[in-house]
Amino acid sequence: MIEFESYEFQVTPELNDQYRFAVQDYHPRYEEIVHPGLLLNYSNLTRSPNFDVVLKSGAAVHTKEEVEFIKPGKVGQIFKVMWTIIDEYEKRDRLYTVIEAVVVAQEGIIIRRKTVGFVTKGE
Amino acid sequence: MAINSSTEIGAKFAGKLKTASNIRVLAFSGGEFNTPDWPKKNIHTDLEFAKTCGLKSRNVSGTQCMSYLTELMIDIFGESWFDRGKMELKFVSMVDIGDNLVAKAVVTEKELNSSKTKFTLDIECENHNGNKVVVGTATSWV
Repeated sequence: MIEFESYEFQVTPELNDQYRFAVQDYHPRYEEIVHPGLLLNYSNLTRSPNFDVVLKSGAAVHTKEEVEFIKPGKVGQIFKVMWTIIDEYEKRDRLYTVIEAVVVAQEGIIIRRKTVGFVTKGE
Repeated sequence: MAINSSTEIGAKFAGKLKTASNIRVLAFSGGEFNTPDWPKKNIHTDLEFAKTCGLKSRNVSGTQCMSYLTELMIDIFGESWFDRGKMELKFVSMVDIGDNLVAKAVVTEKELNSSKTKFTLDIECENHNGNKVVVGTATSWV
């Protein structure tokens, strides 16, 4: 079974500011803490380098999501996201996929865990 | 706006008005600024890409709406949300570029124990037409 490649990225102050702008949230805590919107977005499965190869699809439209906040991320840190398929099913002639995503900070600490259901588009 | 152990079931909260303008959608979903291929093509940033995926138009990422809800949860629960917040959401409607959105919450359950109070809230993100685009629940402790 082909697995999703993990994805590593560093949150620079500039990247964090980009997300503060995107969601109009300029609270000063985000000078040190990674904006939660950034980690929500960067843990989307479409960030996996082989997303389109594994799912043979260009896009994943969210249907449901559960997210658990475990620790804040710090600006400057490197994060790694790992994804695992935990369910697949058909409904009304559409293929639905459920994955678990885990975001790990550079010390190896899990800071976010989420379960995402989506329908693929563009097969 | 913060919640505390005396907050009653039925208490309502609302976030700030957000506008998912084109430039903010590109900032959220287009990848890192100042990279050669910015904005990266996907269903949120490129109409032709969206059409090849069977969509009629570009739309706002569900995670962008989740960010609005998360901001409201941090307003309500404080920074402890980062350590023990949980949301379960359903995305019930596409969000168009340019939509105005507000995150809302209402306390539906409250569990007292010796040292902490667990709250459950119904949460939603509503557009300027009054339609719910994301609905779900949130839980945390104070």
